[in-house]
Amino acid sequence: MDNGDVYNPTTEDVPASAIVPGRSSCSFSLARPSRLRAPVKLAELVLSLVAFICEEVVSRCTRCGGLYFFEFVSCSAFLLSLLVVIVYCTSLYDRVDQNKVKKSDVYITAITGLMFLIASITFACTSDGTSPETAAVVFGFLASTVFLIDFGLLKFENARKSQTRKPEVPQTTLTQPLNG
Amino acid sequence: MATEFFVTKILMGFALGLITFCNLGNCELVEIFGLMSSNVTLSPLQKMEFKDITWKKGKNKVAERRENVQDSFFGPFEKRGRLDQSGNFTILNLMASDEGQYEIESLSLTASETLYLYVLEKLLQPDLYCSFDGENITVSCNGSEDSRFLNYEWLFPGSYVIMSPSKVLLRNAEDFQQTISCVTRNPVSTNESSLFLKTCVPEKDQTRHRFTLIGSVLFVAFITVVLYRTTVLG
Repeated sequence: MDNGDVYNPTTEDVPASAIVPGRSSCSFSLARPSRLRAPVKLAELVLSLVAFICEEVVSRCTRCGGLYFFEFVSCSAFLLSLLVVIVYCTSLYDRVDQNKVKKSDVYITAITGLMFLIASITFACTSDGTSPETAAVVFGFLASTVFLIDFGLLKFENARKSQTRKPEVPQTTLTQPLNG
Repeated sequence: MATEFFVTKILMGFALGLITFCNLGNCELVEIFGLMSSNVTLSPLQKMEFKDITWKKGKNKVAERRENVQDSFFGPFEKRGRLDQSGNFTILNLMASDEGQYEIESLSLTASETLYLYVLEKLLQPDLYCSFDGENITVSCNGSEDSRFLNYEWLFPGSYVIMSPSKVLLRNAEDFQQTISCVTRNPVSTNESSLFLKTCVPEKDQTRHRFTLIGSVLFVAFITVVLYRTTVLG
């Protein structure tokens, strides 16, 4: 056991915090998904929450269909945004299939943006025009715009990545034997 | 009530027709509208100075002017009648019983002239009633008990269906956050009432529920499970 001091450090599990400093299960970082999209994700979260709160302030309605649809969409949008932010900004991201997360993010962002836009238009047409309703509609439109901008950024980033990756893997290297 | 109204209406129409075509000899009909409790002046059609003139209501003499004699007034017009040089007969403080056909006779006229005086009440603010059937609002306007010469006009920025002159229907697609106005007019007065449509919808029908929140939470939970299976377990 004299050599124990020599071997022990190399066989011990390296803690996650040691690999990525400041990203433990309780840590929070805005470095992901990207420097540009992280504030956009936070904006989605805040705007959908504000739209949802404004809509919840409404206590009476004469044509309630638009209100209920907006309530469903804004609440779902907020919870999904929260889920996405939690996944991206915590160590959870290191434990999941990152490609699938990015793919899911594309679908969630696009569908949420579109549904938020439709819900805002419907609510604007059927609301009684009270102040909370007007505020909810305004924040609904803002949130849907941010979601759609985020979707645009996602597609733009994906397109740029696929363009820069192509020349990195020339076909000839794949056909060459490793021991050649 | 409705039968009585229609009978009155038919009789009124008949009387008006009779007066309009003036089958009562050589006469010309003029309709004059007077406001209850105010003054009205009945004027001869021919403008001239009359040395003698007699005003009759139906067959009864009500006012008379003779040369060099003080003007005479009869019956209910004794204290309420006035005559001037041009033959104008002014009735003060009009009463409902003053309504009727008036005739002018004078040596200066080749034929007698006939006027019909209608005494109408000043229109009060019309009563607006509304009812909500769960989808549409029906608004009724009650202008006056005296429906003669009464016209209704509706003022509303959206569209509405006219059920009768005094009743309209507003569909649920309309914005109930607006006001509808009913304007009533007769030849001597006009008045208006407004109604905020949202007050027509009972409060219990306006209260919202929050069941959709449960739906959205369940929906997001389902999405989370699906994502967990695909990104972590898959």
